[in-house]
Amino acid sequence: MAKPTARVERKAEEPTLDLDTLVKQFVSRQEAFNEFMDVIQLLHERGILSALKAALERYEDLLGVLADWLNSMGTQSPANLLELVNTLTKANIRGLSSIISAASKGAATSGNKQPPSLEGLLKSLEEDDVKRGLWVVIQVLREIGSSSLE
Amino acid sequence: MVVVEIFIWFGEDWGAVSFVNLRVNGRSIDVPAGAPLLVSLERSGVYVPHVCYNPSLGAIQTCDLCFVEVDGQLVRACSTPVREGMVVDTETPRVTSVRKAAMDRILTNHNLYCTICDNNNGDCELHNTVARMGVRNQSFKSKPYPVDSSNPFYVYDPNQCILCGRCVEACQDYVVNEVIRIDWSLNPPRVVWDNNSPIGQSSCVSCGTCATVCPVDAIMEKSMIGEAGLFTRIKPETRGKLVGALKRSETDISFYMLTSDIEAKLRSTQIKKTKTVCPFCAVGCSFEVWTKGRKILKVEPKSESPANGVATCIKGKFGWDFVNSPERLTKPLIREGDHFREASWEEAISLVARRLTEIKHKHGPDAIGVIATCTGTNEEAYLAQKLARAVIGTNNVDNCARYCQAPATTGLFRTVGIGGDSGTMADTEKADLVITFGSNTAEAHPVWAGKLKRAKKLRGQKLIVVDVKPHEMVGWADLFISPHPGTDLVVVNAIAKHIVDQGWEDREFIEKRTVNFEAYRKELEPFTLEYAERVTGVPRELIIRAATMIHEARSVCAIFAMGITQHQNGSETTTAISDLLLLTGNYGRPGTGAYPARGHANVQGTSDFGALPTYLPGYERVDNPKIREKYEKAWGVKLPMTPGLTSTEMVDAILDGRLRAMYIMGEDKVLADSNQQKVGEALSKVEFLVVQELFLTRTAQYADVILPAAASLEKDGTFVNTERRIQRLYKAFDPPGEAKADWEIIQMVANAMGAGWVYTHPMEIMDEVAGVAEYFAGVSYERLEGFRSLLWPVKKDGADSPLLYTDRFEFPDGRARFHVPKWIEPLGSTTQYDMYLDNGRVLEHFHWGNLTWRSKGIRELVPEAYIEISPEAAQRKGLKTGDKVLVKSRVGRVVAGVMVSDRVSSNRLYIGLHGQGDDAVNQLTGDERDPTSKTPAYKELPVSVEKLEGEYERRAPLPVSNYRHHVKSRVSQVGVKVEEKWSRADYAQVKG
Repeated sequence: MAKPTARVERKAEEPTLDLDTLVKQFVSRQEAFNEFMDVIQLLHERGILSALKAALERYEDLLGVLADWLNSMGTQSPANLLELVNTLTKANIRGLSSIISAASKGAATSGNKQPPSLEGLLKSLEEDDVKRGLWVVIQVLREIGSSSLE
Repeated sequence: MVVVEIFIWFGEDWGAVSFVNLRVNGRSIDVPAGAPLLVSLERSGVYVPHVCYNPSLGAIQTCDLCFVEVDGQLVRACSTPVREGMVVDTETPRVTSVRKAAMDRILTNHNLYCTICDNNNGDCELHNTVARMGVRNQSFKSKPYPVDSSNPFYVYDPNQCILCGRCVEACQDYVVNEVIRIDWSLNPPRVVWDNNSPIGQSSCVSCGTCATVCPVDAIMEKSMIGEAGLFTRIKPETRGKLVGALKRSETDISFYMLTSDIEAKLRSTQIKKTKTVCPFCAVGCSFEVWTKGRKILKVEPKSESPANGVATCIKGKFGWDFVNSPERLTKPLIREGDHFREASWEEAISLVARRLTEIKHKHGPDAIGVIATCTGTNEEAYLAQKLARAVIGTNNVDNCARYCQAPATTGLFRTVGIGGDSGTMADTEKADLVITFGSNTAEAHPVWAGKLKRAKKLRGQKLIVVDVKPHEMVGWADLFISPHPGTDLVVVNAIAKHIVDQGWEDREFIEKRTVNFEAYRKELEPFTLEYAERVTGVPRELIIRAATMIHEARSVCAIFAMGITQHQNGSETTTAISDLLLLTGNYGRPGTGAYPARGHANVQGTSDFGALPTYLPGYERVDNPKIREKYEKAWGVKLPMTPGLTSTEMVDAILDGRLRAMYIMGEDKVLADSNQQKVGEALSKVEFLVVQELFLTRTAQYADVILPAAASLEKDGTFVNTERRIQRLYKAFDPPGEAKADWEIIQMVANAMGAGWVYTHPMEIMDEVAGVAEYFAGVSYERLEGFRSLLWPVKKDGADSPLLYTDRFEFPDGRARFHVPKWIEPLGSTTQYDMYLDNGRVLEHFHWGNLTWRSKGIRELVPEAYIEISPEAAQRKGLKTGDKVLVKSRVGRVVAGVMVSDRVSSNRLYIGLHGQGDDAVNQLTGDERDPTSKTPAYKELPVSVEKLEGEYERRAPLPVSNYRHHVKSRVSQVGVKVEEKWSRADYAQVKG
């Protein structure tokens, strides 16, 4: 005669870690594991892990401080940041890479010579390449200016 | 308002409708006639912004985003049907300007802080529309209303509400609970519950449909909050400060939109959406369940969910806490004297196999009984009966249909040949007249009730309710007939006789499609109006009126449930109902037929797939040698030929020594079967009891071995709903601990007994079924992919059968049988037992409550089982709400709190099934059964009631947060009343 019972004797929880699987995974990805451990060690040595841990523990407090700062009078950071991002999004700077390349070339060339005299600078303004360069810079500034008004 | 035609149209194959030609932006396109322009444009790849239109709800006309020009006039595309030759322009400057103004108005109501919003999951309709329209700024105005979080399951934030009215449409016209509306007279307007009550003190039934359809985060499931987003777990006050600061500096929102889009993509790595089917009642609601690890974030039904669309009930939407309950069984348990100890699967399975084999050898295979679970899958039911028949060697296999709907199956087998609904729930929506017999539809099958209420409210469908209890559906009925308990058969036959007497029977149908009419007609003779009035207490005028309504209706559906079946004459009454439908030609046409409303999620499928003592899968009889031969060949074993014991007979068989072992899967027999004391005695006595369960239930407490099973979310498989609709459920996550899916456990037991089964996935089991059972010949997982479904019988080519009997009935000659039902006198009240205790479901709980008691929110709303008593009877007995009573029957006693209620009348009481302790109803029910189906007569229960004196806390059994206290505050309206919005001074109405 089985009497109803709700009593259960449970075994103590055994560790669920399957060591064999872990070792196999470690061996097959040893290089990646080593690098990962190095990163962890460096983060620890630089105190970043401690900072991160503390930040996570005090997450709400930090957010609160941030929110108070953002709300304080005169703080323009979010607006400025957004303005910058929006301006960069809208500005149509075509051929930027060739300009950067040309700028680098110019910088390299200038590094090999003595600084020009004022007369030399004025003469340079007559060169077609210099005129074109100035025109590009002016165009970029114009786009940035008009975008900031929108 | 809901446009029913559009909804119906939406599900149709484009190839099946006629087309009209439009010119859209200079391009010629063909679209289905009658469709809303918005849908036609979308389907043709023309984008038109919108946030209030929803395919299930139809045109609401509040957002004003979908304006287009048609023949030069501005119109809302959502509410404009297409017509031949229409010239449509979707991108003119005028259209763009109107849409921009509309979006500006919407964004004054909703603050876009998507990155820290839990609704930003890639499917926020407002977010996506803002992005698509290229909106770069907003001017948000805060509203002076606080967040309402007084409902246990969802919150309403008026500050984020765009007043689109979807929640109103859903509540008023889709699920038709009529709780929510927009009060356009307030400044600013807002969504209100009842007469502007807190949600937690309103008549809200917590079906959650409002949260499902809300396009933003205004109405949101609490389980989502702080969980869906990567950065959303922030205190509201901190969030408010952050949002305030960022929005003040904002000149352009496009960067915020970008970051929130990126964040939404990141969220998708941690949120999984899995299609599943609800494990509670048999309406078969399907939905996606959103999970994060094992956390259930929300349940989201879709417009393409075939049985339910976007509707759910409280249990399907919010009743999922049981899945992660700490009380889940996670390891096999073996009894050792007065306690259980944990065991390995090897030890437990080995013990089960050894003991079952010993008993089989010593006492024969028929000394073992198997109960398959009705909340398990079809594949699991198939394996359970295969284990019983092919491995153990007995037909002693049954399921919980024995407790509820087996009599309905009997009645339909006798008359039309198939033990299932004649058509779909859509047919019950289409019918001219619906008659419900013994069905508290709004509480037991609430999503189905929504469809009936919608048909009534929007289309004027007629409704007759036959019930002992004046439940919610009575408020919707054109005619309410309340017979004495157990006398429904007399009512039905008296209606039939009156129809015959008036010459209203469908002679042509009877002659061409039926046999045995004359014998039936003769047997109706005693059921005169006078006799019916005397026996049933129903005035003859009501019977005449019911007969007249049936006669006048072009199509009639009869829905019947446990109020009919759980009587001694359950099989007889269902037979009589089916006879009545045959008499009036109400089979085989759209909007006609018999609809037994099945109770458990897969009670239909568990029976369909063979877990019955007389039938193999697909209702092929075990005593038919040809059928047996087919299965013997397929399974490679000799099969038993004698029909087995029913679940209720197994209890008797234990007590008289014929049955020595039971293997019960997912069935709390102690609470579910009648006469709890007797069942307990039997389970104490049985030599060996195996229970496969989620929890240590009352039944499991008697077991020798308990095997931990998986919940529906933790396995793949299929369910069959009450319509005969087969639907797939997919695994969302693994079972906890060492628990396993039932099919895996059954296979382990079978193999330990020498079976040699090698199923690796339920799909292989279904393939095997399709190979042997004719009804399922064309069923495959591929054909059931996603939200697709099939209604059996399914031919090999995949053609299914939404509507039965269009050409023939399921008999060799194709003709239906009039079957003469026998009248069995029900148990009546006596001097000693002068009250009558009706019992059944309550909306919030599911049956014995093993799943729903574990939902914190549901416990909060319905914390105990209680006795409802009418005000007159309460006065007579000196009872008040909050008193406790001792209820006695000839068999046992129950103690429960009292609730005085107008939902019961005269000497009738009502108690929910969900009590598990002193309030468990089956301590009172006895051994009377339907002699054909062996279903207990649970609802024939004369009792006495006496007030419990002494010291106890007198409090109302239902808290004030329960909707039942507030139903009289509901405000019924059709649609969102957008005209009131348009007439407000602050609304610049667009002039077309």
